[in-house]
Amino acid sequence: MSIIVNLDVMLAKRKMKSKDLAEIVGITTANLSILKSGKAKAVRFSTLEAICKALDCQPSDILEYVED
Amino acid sequence: MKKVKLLYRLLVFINIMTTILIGVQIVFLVIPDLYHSKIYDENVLGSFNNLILTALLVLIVIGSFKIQQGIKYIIKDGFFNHKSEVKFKLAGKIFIGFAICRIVYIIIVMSDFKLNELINNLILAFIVILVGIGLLVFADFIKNGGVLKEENDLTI
Repeated sequence: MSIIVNLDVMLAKRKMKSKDLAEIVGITTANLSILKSGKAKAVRFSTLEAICKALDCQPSDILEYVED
Repeated sequence: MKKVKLLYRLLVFINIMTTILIGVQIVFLVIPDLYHSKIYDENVLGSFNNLILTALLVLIVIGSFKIQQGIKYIIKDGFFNHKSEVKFKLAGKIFIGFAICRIVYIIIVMSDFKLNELINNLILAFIVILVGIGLLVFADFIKNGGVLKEENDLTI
């Protein structure tokens, strides 16, 4: 897929665990894992907003477009 | 899901009954006809008439059995699953195949039927074709529903 999810990088930068982020955002760790692995088909704006708020970052810090 | 389970049980009952009836037909009509080479002057197909009718019946029972399996998978894995889609598609094809064979049979033995019987049989065969196409459309619904479900499940 040409959209890369850099959630791992942001989590490492903020020194936050996946489990904690999932708890703050209000999603399951399984869903967060799907998002991190790039298997997700879509991300709700509300989820993206919650992630950005929790990690204090911009959507562009998490999502990146790479040409195939 | 209650109605689906009811339909499943009804199909199981119908399939068992039809299988028993096919067995009875084979034992009491098909085997004696072929074994004794009975002569039926009134039938175009003669002693093979019952054999062909039984073969057609077997075909529709196989189709019905595939529907039963499709419904079983719906009960087991939910409405949108690949196995049900495959079973319904196969059942649809079998039903259409049965109807075409039935129409060919009716055309061959046309002289054996009265006009009203001929019309009734032809209409029934066309209805079976419609049922078959309906099953193919239903299989498509399941397929598209499965894609939507997957996308919904993978939306975080």
